[in-house]
Amino acid sequence: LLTYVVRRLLWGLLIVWGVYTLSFVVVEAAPGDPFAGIESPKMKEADFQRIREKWGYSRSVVDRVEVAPGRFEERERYEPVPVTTRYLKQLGNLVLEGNLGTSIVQKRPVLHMLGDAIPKTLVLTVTALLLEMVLGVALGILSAVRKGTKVDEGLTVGTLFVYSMPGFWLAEMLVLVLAVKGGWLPSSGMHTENVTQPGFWADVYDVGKHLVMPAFVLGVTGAAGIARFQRSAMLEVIRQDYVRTARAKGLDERTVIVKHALRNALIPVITLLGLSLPFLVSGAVITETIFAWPGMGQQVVAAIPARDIQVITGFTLVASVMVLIGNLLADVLYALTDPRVRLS
Amino acid sequence: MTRARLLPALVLAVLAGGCGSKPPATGGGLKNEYRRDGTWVKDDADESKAKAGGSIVLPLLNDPDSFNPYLSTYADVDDVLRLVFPTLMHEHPDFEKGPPDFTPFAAESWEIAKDRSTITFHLRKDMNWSDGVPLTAEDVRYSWQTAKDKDVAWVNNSIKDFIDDVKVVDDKTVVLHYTEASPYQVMDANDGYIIPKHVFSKIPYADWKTHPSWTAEAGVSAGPYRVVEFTSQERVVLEANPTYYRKGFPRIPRVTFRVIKKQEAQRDALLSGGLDVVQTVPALDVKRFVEDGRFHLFNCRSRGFTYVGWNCRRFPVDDPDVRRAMTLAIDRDDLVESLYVGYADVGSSPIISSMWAHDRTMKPLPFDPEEAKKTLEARGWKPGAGGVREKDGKRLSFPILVSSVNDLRIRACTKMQAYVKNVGVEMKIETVEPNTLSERLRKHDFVAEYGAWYVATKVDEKVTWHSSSTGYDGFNWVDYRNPRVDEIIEKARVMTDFAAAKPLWDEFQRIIEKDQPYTFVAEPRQLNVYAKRLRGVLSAAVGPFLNVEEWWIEEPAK
Repeated sequence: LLTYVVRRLLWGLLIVWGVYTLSFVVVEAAPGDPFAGIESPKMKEADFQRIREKWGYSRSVVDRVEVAPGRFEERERYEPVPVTTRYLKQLGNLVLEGNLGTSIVQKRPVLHMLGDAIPKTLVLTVTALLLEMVLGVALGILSAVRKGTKVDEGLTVGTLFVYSMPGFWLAEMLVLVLAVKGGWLPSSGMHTENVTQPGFWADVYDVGKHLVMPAFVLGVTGAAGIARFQRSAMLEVIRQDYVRTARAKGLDERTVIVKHALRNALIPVITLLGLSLPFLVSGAVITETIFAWPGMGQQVVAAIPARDIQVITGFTLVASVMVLIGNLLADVLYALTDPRVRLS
Repeated sequence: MTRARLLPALVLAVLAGGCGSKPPATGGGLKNEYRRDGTWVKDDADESKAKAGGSIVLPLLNDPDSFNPYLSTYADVDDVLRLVFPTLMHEHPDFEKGPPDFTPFAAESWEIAKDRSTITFHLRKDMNWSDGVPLTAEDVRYSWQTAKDKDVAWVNNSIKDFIDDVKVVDDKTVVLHYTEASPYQVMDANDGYIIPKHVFSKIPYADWKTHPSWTAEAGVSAGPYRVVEFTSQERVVLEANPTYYRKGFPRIPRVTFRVIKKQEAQRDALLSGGLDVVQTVPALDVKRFVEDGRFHLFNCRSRGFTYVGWNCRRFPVDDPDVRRAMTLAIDRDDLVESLYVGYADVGSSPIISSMWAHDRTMKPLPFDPEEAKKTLEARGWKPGAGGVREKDGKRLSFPILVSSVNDLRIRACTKMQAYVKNVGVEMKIETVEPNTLSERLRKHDFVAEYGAWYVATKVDEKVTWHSSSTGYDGFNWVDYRNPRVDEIIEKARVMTDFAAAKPLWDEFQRIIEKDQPYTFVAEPRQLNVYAKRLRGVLSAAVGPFLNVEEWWIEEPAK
C-alpha cells in the first residue's frame, strides 16, 4: 500500500505542475494584465513602467546612443520581461522557497490571503458536506426501505426537483423569503457587524445564523444526488443473501438495515465523499459570492477579471492538490473498507 | 477593468459644515425622496436634535488593497480614507456654477501670490494626530514628497507636476512653489491626503510596495475616524478619533465598512438590516426602496454619462452624416424612461449638464427617424434586401460592442438595435468580456461601442478628444481628430480665467455636436439610498460619505 501511495504522490506532483502551468498560460493568454486597473490617464509612462518593473514585468535597459560623432549618451528605456522568464521565476520561488508570490492587486502575500480565506471556506464547506452526507444517506435509506410507498415516491420527486434546481436561484429565493421578507436570518456575511459578541458561544451562534443559508444551498443539491445514489445502493444490498440470512435469524428490521446492510451500502457513497473533497476548497465560489462569505471563492472571483496571476495560480495549485489528495484518500478508504479491492 | 473608468479620479474631501447653514430646498419628489437638480442633495434634518452615539454599517464593493492613500488604487478605499486622513482644505461638492470652492480643513487660511507662483497655507493650531503628535508643516511636505517619489509611484502623481517645492516656514506655515500658473493650482495643492510623517517614514519608500495593508499606520489619524480593524474580504472597522479638532464630532462613534462584492447582495443586506447605505442603486430598484418606508432616496445629478462611440475611421460610421442619422433614429427619451424609469436625462455633450462648463443653450438632438432616413438617403444609402440599406453593394450593417457583465447596457443596445432597424440599419450586438473590450477599444478594433464615462470635476477634455490621445495609452478610442478641437483643448485647459475659457468650451461642444463622434445617450441621476435613521446626510455626485462626521442616528418612531 505504501509504495502505491508514494507512486501516486509522485504522479500527483507531475499533474499539479501541469495544472499550475496551464493556469499560468491561460491567464497570460487572456487579454489584459494585472496593471490595467491602476492605469489612469494621469499616469506617466515612466511611472507605469516603474511599477511594472517592481513586479518583474518590465526591466530597464540602458542604451549607449551616439549623439554626435564620438559622443555617447546613456539612455534608459524599459522592455517587457519575456513571459517564460517570469514563469520560471515564479516557479522557482514556489519550488525553492515554497513562496506563492504576492498579489499585484491586493499587495499581500498570496499565502496570507489563502491562510485568511481557507479556514472560513472550510467552515462553510465542511458544514455543507456534513449536511449533504447525513441528509443524503438518511433520505436514501428511508426511500429504499419504503420502496414503492408514498414516502418513496414523494422523496423521488422531491430529490429530483431539488437536484435540478440551480443553486443561485435557490439562494436568491431563500434570501428573499428568510432575510428580506422574514428578517429571520442575515442576508449575507459571516458576522453581525457592530454588535460586540460577549464570549465564544455567542460568536458561534452568530456565525451559525449566517451559515444556515449558504450551507443549506451548498449542501442540499448534493444531498439530493446522494439520496438517489444511496437508495439504489441500499436496494441492491437488501436483495443480498446475507441480508435475508440476517432477517431469517430473527433480527429486527432496524438492526438488519443499520448494522448489516448499511455498511456495504455505504461503500459507493465513500467514493462520492472522496470526490467531494476538492469541493471543500473550490466548490463554494458562486455561493460565497452570493452570500458575501469571506472565503477563497470570493478572492478568486475578484482575481480572475483583474488578471491577478499570483492569486489565480495559487488558488489553482491548492485546489488541484486537494483534488489529488481527495482521489487518493477515496482509493485508500476503498481499500480499507472493501476487502475485494487490493491496491498495487 | 470595467469600462466605467474613473477619469482623473479627483480626491474630494469631507465637507465639514461648509455648505451654508440653511438646509437647501428639497422635496418636489416622491415620498421618502430628497431630490435636487444640482450635484448634491442634503436632507432636511433639524440640527438642534442631533445627538451622539450609535454605530452604522456602510458598504464596500471591493476588498481594500491598502490603507496607504498613495498606494491604494481603488475608488472605494477612498470612501474609507477620506474619513481618516485630512486634506489641506475641503473641496465643495458643487461644480455646477463654476469650479469647486474650497473651505478650511487642516489649513485655516491660505494666500495665493499675485503672480500665482506660490500658495502659503497656515495650518490649524489645534490639529493633532490621534497619537497626540501635532500635525505640522513637515507632514505636509512629507506627503508631497511621497506623492512625487519614484519608488512610491503614486498613480495620480501628475497632479503634483507643477509643484516643484514645498517649503516649511515654521511648524504651522508651509509654502507650495509652482513652476507655472495653471487653472487648478488650489485643487492640485489639495489633492492627496496628509499622512503622518512620524509613522509612515519608519518604512523606507523602497519597502512600501511589499508592506501589507497598512492597517496599523491608518490607525494614526487626524481626520474624524481611525482604522482599528481590518479583516480581509469582510470588514474595516473605524472608531472616532478622540483627538479630532472639531469638538463633538464625529457624532457616530463607530463605523464599519462591510465588503459585499455584488450589488444585489448589498441591496438585500440593506433590506434585511445588515447595511445602512447603498450607493449608486440601479434606477429599477428605486421603487422598492421608496415604497418600503424604511429608507430615504437621495437623488441628485451624477458625474456619469453613457454613450455610443462611433469609430470615426471605420466604414460606415466614418461619415458624420451617418453618425448623425443614428442619433436622430434612436429615441433616447424612451431609453431613459424604460431603462432608468426617468432617473436620467438625455445627454448632449461630453461636458455633462452638471458641469459648469456645459453649454446650457444646447439641446439634445431630437428623435426624428424621418430626418434620419432622409439623411441616409442623401448620402447614397438606398433601401436594400431584408430592409437593410445598401450603397455600392455594401450593406449598412455593423456590430456594436458592449460589456458582457453589464445587463443594463446590453438591454440598452437591444432597444437601440430596434430603433436603427426602423431606418434601415442593421446593428449586431456583440457582448465582450471587459478586458477584451478594453483591448479592442484601445486598438480601435471596433465600429461602434456602448459605454460610460465618469468625468472629473476638472474640465479637461484632452484624454478623450485630443488627436494625441488616439494612441494605445489614450482614451480617444473613437479616433476623433479635429485640428480646431485640438487647438481649443490646448488653449482652454491651461487658462486660469475660467470665464474666458467658457466660450472656448462652448465652441468645443458645438463642434462635437456637429461631428457626432458619440451619440450621447443618458446622464443617469446619482441615486443613493440611506436608512431613515441616518440624519444630517449630504449625498453628492462625488460620493455618498462626504459628511459622515456630521451624521447622527435618530431611531424612527414606530
